[in-house]
Amino acid sequence: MSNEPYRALQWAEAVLTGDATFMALVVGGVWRGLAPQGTATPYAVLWIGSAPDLLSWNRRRVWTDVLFGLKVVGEASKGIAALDPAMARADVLLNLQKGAAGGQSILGCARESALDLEEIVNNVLWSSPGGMYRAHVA
Amino acid sequence: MAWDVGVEVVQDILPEVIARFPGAVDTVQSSGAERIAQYARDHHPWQNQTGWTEASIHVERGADHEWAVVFGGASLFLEYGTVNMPPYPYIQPAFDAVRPSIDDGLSRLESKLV
Repeated sequence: MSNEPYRALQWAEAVLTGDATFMALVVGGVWRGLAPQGTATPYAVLWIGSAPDLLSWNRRRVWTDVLFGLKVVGEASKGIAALDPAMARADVLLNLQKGAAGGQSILGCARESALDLEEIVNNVLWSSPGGMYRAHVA
Repeated sequence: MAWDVGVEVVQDILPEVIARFPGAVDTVQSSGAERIAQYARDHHPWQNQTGWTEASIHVERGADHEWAVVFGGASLFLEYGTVNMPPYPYIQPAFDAVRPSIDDGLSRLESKLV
């Protein structure tokens, strides 16, 4: 059974968690959607933004155009020391790369836009640099 | 936040299409933008809570032949999540759902140039 969006996340998660440099920067680990309360910071979050299929004229699926997000989350005070280097390392690992996961191919992956999300949590400014990555999964 | 309505299919010859069919490109794009806004209103995951997010979604005209779908309220937090809430994307899916029809409309105009 095909589940291309999750294959893209599975691939990205494997690439990120397999890199010692990245994992040393995100001490709280890599999570899908949301990290549990109390997770050490910084940590990384992956999620699916959208995943339309590209169909041929006879409705056969050529690939799934998976847009997934990645953000590195932590207190803004950790920004220059930890958040920015972690996101920069993630971009090296994911941008213009390809691979495989769960028996399906990641034909290519490239960042489509950059993110920089700020929010105040309990009177502390949190920052989440990140990006939206487009992966073609077949 | 605003999503610009793209015209990648005929981007290179768009000026020619606009010149040949005055108003037609604007119709394709503005109606596409309205459909994106409507799709997002219909499918956003925070229906009937405060009403602010639904009410904030609208289309604005930018420069000539450009429209933007504008999202306010809790849109940013829903689309990308927060420290305490996972993302509930609905803006990009709306764009992806409607975009083929915009591309198709522009391609039909392009084909009439030949």
